Amino acid sequence: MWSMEDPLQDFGFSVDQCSKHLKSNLNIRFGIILREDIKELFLDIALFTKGSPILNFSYPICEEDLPKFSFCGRRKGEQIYYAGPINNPGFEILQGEYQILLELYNEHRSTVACANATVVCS
Amino acid sequence: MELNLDKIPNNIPTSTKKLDLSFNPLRHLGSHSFSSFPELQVLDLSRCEIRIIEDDAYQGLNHLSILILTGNPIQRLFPGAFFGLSSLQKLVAVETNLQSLEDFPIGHLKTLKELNVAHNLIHSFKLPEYFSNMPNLEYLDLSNNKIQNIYHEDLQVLHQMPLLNLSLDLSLNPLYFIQPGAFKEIKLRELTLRSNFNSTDVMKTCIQGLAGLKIHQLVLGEFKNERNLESFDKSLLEGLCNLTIEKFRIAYFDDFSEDTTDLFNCLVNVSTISLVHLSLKRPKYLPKNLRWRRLEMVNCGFEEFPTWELDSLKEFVLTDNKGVSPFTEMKLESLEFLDLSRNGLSFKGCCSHFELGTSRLKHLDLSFNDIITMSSNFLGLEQLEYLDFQRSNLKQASDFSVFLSLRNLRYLDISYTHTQVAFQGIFDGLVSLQVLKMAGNSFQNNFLPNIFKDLTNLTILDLSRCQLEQVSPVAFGSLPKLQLINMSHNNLLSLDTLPYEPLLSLQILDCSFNRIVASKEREWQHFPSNLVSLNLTQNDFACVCEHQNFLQWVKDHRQLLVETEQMVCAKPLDMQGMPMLSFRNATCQRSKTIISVSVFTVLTVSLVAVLVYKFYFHLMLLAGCKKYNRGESTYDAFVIYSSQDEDWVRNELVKNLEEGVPPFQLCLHYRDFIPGVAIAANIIQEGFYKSRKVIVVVSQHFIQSRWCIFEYEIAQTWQFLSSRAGIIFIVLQKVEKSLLRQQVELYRLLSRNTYLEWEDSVLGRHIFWRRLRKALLDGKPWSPEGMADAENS
Repeated sequence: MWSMEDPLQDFGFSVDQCSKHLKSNLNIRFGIILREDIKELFLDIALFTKGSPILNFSYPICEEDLPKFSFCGRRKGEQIYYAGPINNPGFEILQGEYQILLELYNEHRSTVACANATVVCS
Repeated sequence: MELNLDKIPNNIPTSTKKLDLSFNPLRHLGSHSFSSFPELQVLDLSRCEIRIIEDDAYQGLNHLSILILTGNPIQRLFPGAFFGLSSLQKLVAVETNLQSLEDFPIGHLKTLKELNVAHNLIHSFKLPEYFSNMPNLEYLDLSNNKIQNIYHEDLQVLHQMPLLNLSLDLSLNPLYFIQPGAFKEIKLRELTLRSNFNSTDVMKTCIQGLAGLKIHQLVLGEFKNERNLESFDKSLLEGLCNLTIEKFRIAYFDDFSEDTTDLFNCLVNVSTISLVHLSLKRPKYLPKNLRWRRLEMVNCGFEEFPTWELDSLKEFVLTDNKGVSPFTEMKLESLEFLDLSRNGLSFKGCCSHFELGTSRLKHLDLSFNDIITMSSNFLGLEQLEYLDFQRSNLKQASDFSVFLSLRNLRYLDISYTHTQVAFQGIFDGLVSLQVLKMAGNSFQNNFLPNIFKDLTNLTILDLSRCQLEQVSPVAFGSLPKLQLINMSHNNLLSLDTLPYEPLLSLQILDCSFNRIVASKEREWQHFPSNLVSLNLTQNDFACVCEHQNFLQWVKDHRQLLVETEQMVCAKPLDMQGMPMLSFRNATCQRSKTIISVSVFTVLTVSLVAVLVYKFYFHLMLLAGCKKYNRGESTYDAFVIYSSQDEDWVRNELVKNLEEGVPPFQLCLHYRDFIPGVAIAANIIQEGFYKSRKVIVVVSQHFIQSRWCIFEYEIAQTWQFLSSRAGIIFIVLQKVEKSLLRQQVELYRLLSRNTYLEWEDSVLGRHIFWRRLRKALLDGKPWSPEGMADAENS
C-alpha cells in the first residue's frame, strides 16, 4: 500500500499493492478537486531511470463522445474520487530506482494534475 | 482564480464581461454583490465556500449568460437569490448540496437553456412546474444524484409544455423503479442512462417503464469504473419495442451477450445504432429486415471481419477492433459512408467496387490500418469525395496513376503511409481535389517535382515531414486556388520563394522547423501578395551582414510572421539563440563605413602617388626652386652627337627637354656655337665650360665620326679636370661590338655602366625621358662609382 497527498493540488493517490510483478489489474484510489473542466482528459506518462527515458506515452482517458469513466465531463471545482482498477500490461519490475512523471491535462492543454514520483524496487 | 479573496475586489473595471472568482473564500453573497459589473456575461464562482446567497445577489446582471456555482456547500438560498438574471442561458450548480429541483428558486429564468445540477442530493425526479416557463430548456443534467423512482406525475409538466429539444442525463442515479406509462406520449431529444441499474431485473423493468416514449437518441450503458450489471442478455432490450427511437447507442457493458441474433429485434426501425466498447468478438447473423441506415461499432473486439448483408445501410463505421484482419469482401449495396479505421486491417487489393460491394461510396476511411496494396485505381468508385489512408502502410501507390478515376474527390489524406513518390503522375485525375495531406512521406532525391498538374482546385496542401531538400520552381505552377501550404519539418536550406510566385491565392505558408539559413538575395520579392501568415520559426538563420537585406525584410514584415520570438539566430556563434529581430543593421553599417573609408584612403593615396609620379618634375621645381639654380652654368647639358643623328636630337631630345617640365637648356653646336670661333674653342668654352652635364648620343655614326670621338675625349678630360659635370650616355641604336671595340674606353664604360637606351615602345620611351630628366636634375655627378671604375681600368 502506497499513498501520497499534495496539499497544493488537492490531490491524493494510492496504490493497493506493491509487489515486484505488476498485476494487469492494478487497483488504485485517486481523489482530486478539479481546477479545470475535464470534458476531455489525457494522461502523459514518462518513466526514467538514472535520467534516461525508458517509457513515454500519452493516453486518452476521457473523450467527449460516450466517455469511458464516470468522472469524465466533471466540472472545475468539483471533487472526484476514483477507486478501482486501472488497465495496464502486467510486467516484471526490474530492480532499481525509477522516476515517474505523470501529467493529466484537458482539451485546452491545461494541466489538471501532475506528479513526480520515485519508485524504488529492491 | 485563487487569490484568497474573501470579498469581491473593488478594483475590477466596470466594463468586465467575464469574471472568474473561483477558489476564493467569498462564503456569503449579499444583495447586489455584482451591481458594479453590469456588463458581465460570464461569472465563475466555483468552490468559493459560498453557504448563503441572499435575495438580489445577482441583481443588475442583465447580460449574464453563464453562471457557475460548482462546488459550493450552499446551505441557504433566499427565494430571490437569482433575481435579475434576465438573460441567463446556462446555470451550473454541480455539487452544491441541492436537495430538490422544486425548491430551487430559478422559476423566473425564462431564458434558461442549460441546467446542470449533477452531483447533488436530489431524490425526486419531479420536474418542477416552473419548467413550463422555460420554453428554451434544452439540456438538464441530473446525473450522479439520488433518484431511485420515477413516477407518472414527475413528468406531468412535459404534458403541459412539451420540451421537444430536451436532453436529459440521468446517469449514475440508482434507479430502481420506473412507473409504467410515466413516459407515455412524452417526446424528448435525448435520454442517457449509464450505470443506473444494480441488476438485470431492475434494468429490464425500468426499460419496460419507458414505454411510449418518443425519443431521438437513447443512450444505455455503463462506465468502465462503475459496473453494476453482472450480465447482459437479449431480454433486457425487449422493452424497447414500445419506444420510438431514432438513434440507439449502447456502451461499455462488460459481459455483453455474444449472440446478436435476436438482440436487435426491437431495434429494427432504428435509423442509427452505435455499439461502443462491447465485447461481441464474433459477428453473428443479423436479421435481414433491419432498416438501419447507420451502424457504428467501436472497439467491439471483433476477431473476424463481419460479412453482413444490410441493404438499407448507408453508413458503416467499424473502428478500433484490433486484430480483425484480414479484410474480406463486403456486400452493402447502398453504402455511401465507410469508416474502417484503426483496425489493423490488411488489404490484399485496394480498391474497387468489387471488394467494397458498393458503387455509391462517397466517404472511405481506411486510416490506421496495416498493409494496403493498391492494385486498382478505384474502378466503380467514381463517386468518392473523401478518402483517408493516413498511417496505413500503402504499397504500390506511386507505381501508376492510382487516383485517375476519382474526378469527384475533394479530400485525400495519405500522410505517413510510407509512400515514396517516384512517379510524377501519382495525382493525375484529381481535378476536384481541395485538400491534400501527404505529410511524413518521401520523394525521390528529396526533390519536389510538379506532381500537382491536375489539381487546379486545391486549397490546402500539407507537405510537412517529407525530408524535402529542394522544390522545383514549377512545383506549384498549376494551383491558382491554393490558400495554405505546410512545408514544416523538412530539410530546406534556403527560403526559395520562386515556386510560390504563381500562387495567387496563397494566404498561409508554414516553413517552420527547416534548416533555412536565409533567403536568396532579392528572392523574397516574389512572395504572393495575398499572404497573411508566414511561419519561419525554428530554422537555422544566419544573422550576418551578408544577409542583412533579408533580415531587414523580415523586420519590415513582422506583421506577416507568426511567433517572431521563436525566430532565433543559429549563426554566428555570438548571436546564437538570440531573436532574429534583434539583429541590428548598424553593425553592418559600421563595417561598411570601415570598408568605404579604407577604400577611399587607398584611392586617394594612389591618386596622389599617380599625380606625384606624373608631376614629379613640377613638384621638384616648386619645392626645390632655390636648390635648383644653374649657378654659373648657362646650359644644363652639352649634347655630343653625330650630325647624322641630328634629326633625332632636334625632334626628340630638344623638343622633350626644352619644351617639357622642367625646361632644360641644351647646348647644341648648330645653334649655340659662336660663329667665327674655332670649333675646339667653341666645344670647350660654350660646350663644356657653360654646361653642367654632358649628354653623349652613342650611335653607329657617333663612333665613326672623328669629331664626335674628339668631343667625347675632351668631355672625359673636362670631367676629370673639373670633377663637376657628369656624362650621360644615350645609346640610340645598337652598335656592333667590333665597331665599338675600336673605342676601348667607350666600350668599357658602356659595358660596365648604366646608360640610357632609346626604346621603340611608348612605355620604354616614357621611362627613358623620366630617367634622363632625373639625371639632368641631379646636380651630383651621375654614376660616380661607375666613373671611378671606368677611370681605374
